[in-house]
Amino acid sequence: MTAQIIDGKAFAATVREKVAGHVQRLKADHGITPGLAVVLVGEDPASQVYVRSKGKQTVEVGMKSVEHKLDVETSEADLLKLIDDLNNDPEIHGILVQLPLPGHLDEDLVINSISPAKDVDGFHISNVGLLGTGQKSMVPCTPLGCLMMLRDHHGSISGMDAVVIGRSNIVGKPMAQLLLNDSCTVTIAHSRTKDLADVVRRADIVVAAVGRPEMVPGDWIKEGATVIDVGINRLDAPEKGEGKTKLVGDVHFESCAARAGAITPVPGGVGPMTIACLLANTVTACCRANGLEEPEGLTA
Amino acid sequence: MHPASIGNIVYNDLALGPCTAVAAVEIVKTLPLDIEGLNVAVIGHSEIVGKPIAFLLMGLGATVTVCHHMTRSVAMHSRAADAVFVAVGKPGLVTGEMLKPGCVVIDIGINRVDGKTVGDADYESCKDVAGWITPVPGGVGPVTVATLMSNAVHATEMQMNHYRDAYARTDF
Repeated sequence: MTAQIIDGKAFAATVREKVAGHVQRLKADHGITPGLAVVLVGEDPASQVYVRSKGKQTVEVGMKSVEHKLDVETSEADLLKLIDDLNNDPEIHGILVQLPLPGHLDEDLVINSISPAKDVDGFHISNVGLLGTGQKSMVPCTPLGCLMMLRDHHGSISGMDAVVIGRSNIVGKPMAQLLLNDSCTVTIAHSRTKDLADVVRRADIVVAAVGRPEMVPGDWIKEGATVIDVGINRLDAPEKGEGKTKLVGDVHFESCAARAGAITPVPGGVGPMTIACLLANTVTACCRANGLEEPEGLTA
Repeated sequence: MHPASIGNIVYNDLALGPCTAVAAVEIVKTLPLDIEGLNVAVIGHSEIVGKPIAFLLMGLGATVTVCHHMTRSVAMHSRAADAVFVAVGKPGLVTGEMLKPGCVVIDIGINRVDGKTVGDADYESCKDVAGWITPVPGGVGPVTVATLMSNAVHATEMQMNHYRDAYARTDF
């Protein structure tokens, strides 16, 4: 069997189209423009790339994009003051503080100072608990993107056996919650798991989110399973020329694709979905803030 | 049960946990077992018992599988488990043949059958296969009540510390 490739780039484009459609309607019917504020402290090169691309896509779907680029030395009090202003700004529906923050800033304190209703990253402790108790919340973007791809591919995933490898706060844990809420039987595997191969072999759905290049080999994959690869790892690629690098996921693509029924590639799989889901969350937050019906199919 | 408390559990920072879930986990902690790496099946994914148990155990390093009414084969998962937590509300749901010999059975169910109180596990068939099993009544129930007391004390301490800090920051 050769797996069907789940094209995250194409799927993300359809999500952005849906978002753009809702933005259009919000403007036309209600005179509301959803607004997303992104806060970047310091000049981390990777963060700068993310923030630029978030801002660009926000504008492309017709939303208002506000970027606050703060000096690396910004004090906690100044950052909290900015977040407080954004919390109280009726034109801003989503607030994202780009992580990681410089060492002198308390990430937990900063994230938990964002109004949960505007916390489009879904990391506020109240959103984590709301998701954990199956209530309406803001859902972290990367696992939301994975869930959308799974629903799109399978229709319903109810009753399927799912294994999430990795128990991080930003992917593994919320992913497990989302799969449970969709009635999968969920196993969360991690660095302390014994017989990881056996655990993975039982699964109809494998979500790999550990950050270890190609750690899942094909012979761990049950014939026909769906593999969602969240890992993005950069490796040296001398075969492409001196000093060249390549991106690989947490699963070994060729051998896994030979056994899986469907698989997401890296790059071009989960990656593009993350920003698309950030935009989706912003529209959802905007609708909730204005007491309007939420867009269908854009949230958990 | 406040979202923020549940959020703290998910983030591995246990302050106040739902009593029954904490009680079930505390019982297993008393056994001569290493929870790190333990394969656990949690049967039932309620917000007040199943899910918090899963996240508490995961925080302690267990590999947790959460089963529920849509699970195709509960037995497949329970047979692979070193510890089985059952919290569904269905008498006799877990039987001895669904268990790995020597495993732990934590029975959180409380059901009335023919005027008797029984759990979700079929005690008679499970007790010969399992290494440890909690009876119903007299198992998780009393520990739940004790956990409520302990949570109340802990909450009092947290509030005292909170206000002490608050006073320390003011000038009056």
